[in-house]
Amino acid sequence: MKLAIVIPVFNEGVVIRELIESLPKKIDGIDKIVVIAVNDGSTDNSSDEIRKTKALLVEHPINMGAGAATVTGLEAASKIGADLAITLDGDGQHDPKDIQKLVKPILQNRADLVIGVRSQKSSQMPAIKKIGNAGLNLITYALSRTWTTDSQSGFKCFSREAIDKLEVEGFGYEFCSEIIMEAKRKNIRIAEVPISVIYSEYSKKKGQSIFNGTNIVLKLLFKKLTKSL
Amino acid sequence: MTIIAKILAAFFAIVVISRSVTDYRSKKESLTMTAFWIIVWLAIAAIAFFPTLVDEAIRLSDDSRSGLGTVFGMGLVFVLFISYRIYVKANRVEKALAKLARDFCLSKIKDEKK
Repeated sequence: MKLAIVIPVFNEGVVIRELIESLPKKIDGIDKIVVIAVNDGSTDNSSDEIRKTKALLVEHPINMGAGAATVTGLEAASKIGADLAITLDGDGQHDPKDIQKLVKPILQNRADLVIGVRSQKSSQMPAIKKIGNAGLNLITYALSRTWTTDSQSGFKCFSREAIDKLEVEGFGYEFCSEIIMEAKRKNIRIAEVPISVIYSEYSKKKGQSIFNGTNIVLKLLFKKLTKSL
Repeated sequence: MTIIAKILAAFFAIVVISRSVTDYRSKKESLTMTAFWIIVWLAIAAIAFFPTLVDEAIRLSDDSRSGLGTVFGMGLVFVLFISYRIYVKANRVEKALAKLARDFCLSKIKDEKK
């Protein structure tokens, strides 16, 4: 079993090297781990920092968004013959120790898409983000008829079947909901596992702004409309 | 209010027409498109400066039931249609650009697909 760990990177020069080096070297049930860092047109030293590690560097010539970078990473995973792929944020908010938990349902053939669920009760998560996440969960449910506790989580695991079947076109953060909509369309089995989140000052500054929510909703509606035509 | 409409129309007409002519001279735009935008913006400026032209057009159309509201309604529908087309086109261009960029960066990875 070959696992690809996909990290979309945009201006994460401060933390990216440390994040890559903290990733597990051995995981139960996995023979080989390949880290794929997708540099999404960063303007800082992210590329140089990634080159100092053993990660496979894929570089977008321009900034295209977190969604586009994730899709590129998943395509790269498919190209290197990965049996499953994990996606995690480049800002270091996800705990690499949780990778084992995300991989398990796929290895046990219980799911093809595993979503890492952040605790919405955490006192560290800003209230505005909790409200935004709850709203986007409802919108994702309305558009996909699939309830997920954390539709906006970037920490996910995909089986090879899911990588090959899912056709995600979103460029920005709308891709998180789009993946769930696509999973429903393609009858991909979804599982959720609780994960821990590392809230550093750095990771709090990163991530999507609440004002981006309107944009996400508009794009999802357009996607839903065009997909159902 | 009408003076503001006149100033705005004149300002935008000058900007668009001068830009179109510059683009045509630098061969970034075709003669047909340049002529189209010049005619459209001259017409907009003319209506802003002589609003009675609209009344005259309605009278000439020989449709007594048409009013200014109908004309503006048609204009709004046209603008919404154009906005929709631009959104769809921009979406397509964005996808094509992403595919191009993705294919380019993935071409450097050795294919080990099973």
